[in-house]
Amino acid sequence: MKNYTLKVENNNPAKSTAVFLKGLLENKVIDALFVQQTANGVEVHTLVKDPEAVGDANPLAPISLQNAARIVADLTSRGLKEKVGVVLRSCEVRALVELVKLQQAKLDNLIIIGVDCLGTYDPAQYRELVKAGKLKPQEWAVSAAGGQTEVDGVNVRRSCLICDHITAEHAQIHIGWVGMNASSELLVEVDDELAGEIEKVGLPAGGDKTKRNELINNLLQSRAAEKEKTIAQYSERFNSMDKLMEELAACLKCSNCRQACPICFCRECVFLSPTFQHEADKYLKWAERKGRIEMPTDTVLFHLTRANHMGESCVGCGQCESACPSNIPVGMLFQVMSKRIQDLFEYVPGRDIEEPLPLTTYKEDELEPRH
Amino acid sequence: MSVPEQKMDSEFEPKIVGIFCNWCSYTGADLAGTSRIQYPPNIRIVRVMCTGSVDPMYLVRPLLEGADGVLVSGCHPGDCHYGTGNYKARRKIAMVKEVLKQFGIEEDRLWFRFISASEGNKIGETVSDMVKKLKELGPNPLAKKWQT
Repeated sequence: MKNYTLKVENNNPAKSTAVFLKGLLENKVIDALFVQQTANGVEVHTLVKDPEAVGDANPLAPISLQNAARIVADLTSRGLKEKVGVVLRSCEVRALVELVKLQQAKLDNLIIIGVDCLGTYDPAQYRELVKAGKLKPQEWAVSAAGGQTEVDGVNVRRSCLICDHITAEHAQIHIGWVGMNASSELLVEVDDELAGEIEKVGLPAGGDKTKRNELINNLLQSRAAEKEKTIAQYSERFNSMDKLMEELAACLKCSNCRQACPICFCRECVFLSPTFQHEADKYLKWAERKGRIEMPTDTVLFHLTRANHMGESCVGCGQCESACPSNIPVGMLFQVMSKRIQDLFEYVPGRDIEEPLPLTTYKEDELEPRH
Repeated sequence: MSVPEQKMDSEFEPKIVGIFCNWCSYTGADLAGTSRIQYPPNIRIVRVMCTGSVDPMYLVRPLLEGADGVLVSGCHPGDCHYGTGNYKARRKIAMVKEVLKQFGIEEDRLWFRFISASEGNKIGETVSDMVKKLKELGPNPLAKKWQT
């Protein structure tokens, strides 16, 4: 990686980032760009061809309406003919790596442009903060560069507070602001192979990363500790079927958590398929056996099945939890279950693109039974 | 006047859902039958083409609906008709057990075994052992829960 400095003017790192991204398009480093842009007080994902149309880009804003890995998977699954730069956070890159392994996405012709992330807000809370002028998305990188994410008593989502990833992995270009003096400069790191092309954009070579690295290490350590604590706490909260059923009582089986999950990629979920469409007689028979059954049926089964389907690849982005209309802590529930699964196979989703998915491989001598 | 027959022995009889692969264990169960091997009638066997093809959902649902145990059985290592399905089933079942353990469901309610087509006796022994173990564990408390 080669380091460059991206100068910031008028306390507006978002603007400088947009200008840099525009430069990538103008100089044909990329043919198209996938990036979050501000539209009516919230940052939405856009696909840009015209360099003049990146003016509202702000991938640094602490909002993520969805895990963009899903969109990138849709964009790339049938092959990309043009070189597309995709601006992603860590959880999105890690989910993308998992989707590549699940054969839902391809990395060909893709240039991953990573950005630092200290977490994203719940969309509703974010919009209120922005509307009230308490959070300025353009200046977020300046105010949060020291690690401070709380604004007006509101903090980023629970899953983000315990996320032990700040920089985006596997990025060919990375824009860093955490631990930087973001009102005057950002750090751009570029893959050696791409460095020649980036010179065309005209960035001066980068400076000192010591302060940044120190802060990031400290933050990662405290977040990892917080993560361990929180997962232990929720593991206790969900340590019996009775407690699980209690927590899931408010589940209306809307499938929002599945829809928001970057890993749950099935076009038709088995729970929406004819497998779960029964004759009335069947429901009545079940009701007779237990005296009563909850309708719709199989709520607990839905969540446990989902955990078994995506647990090995869960990156802990917490989008499921944000999507839940009943405010059930599903993100924590899934993290509790996926931690057990990932620990069992010593697998870390998103870590290595070459590492096979645990359920697609095996060792002869492992687990029980042996013969 | 005839009196309706009444079951005097009220000992708990566990219900086991068996998921047996077509090539080895199901044929093994056939052999157990034709060899007149005696074993408890507590198991209902479902034949599948390969244990590797069984989605975790089908292991979890019987337990949530009140079966006392699930016995999955496939070919011996190296003998899978499809190459490696049994190894992958072993991983899948280890994963399901981890999830079940989180919620306090005894992992001994889910068994995975390798039983070949020639091991009718092993079918009998395995089912007998499992019935014994499940009697120790007692009935699955989820049988009475209506919020599953």
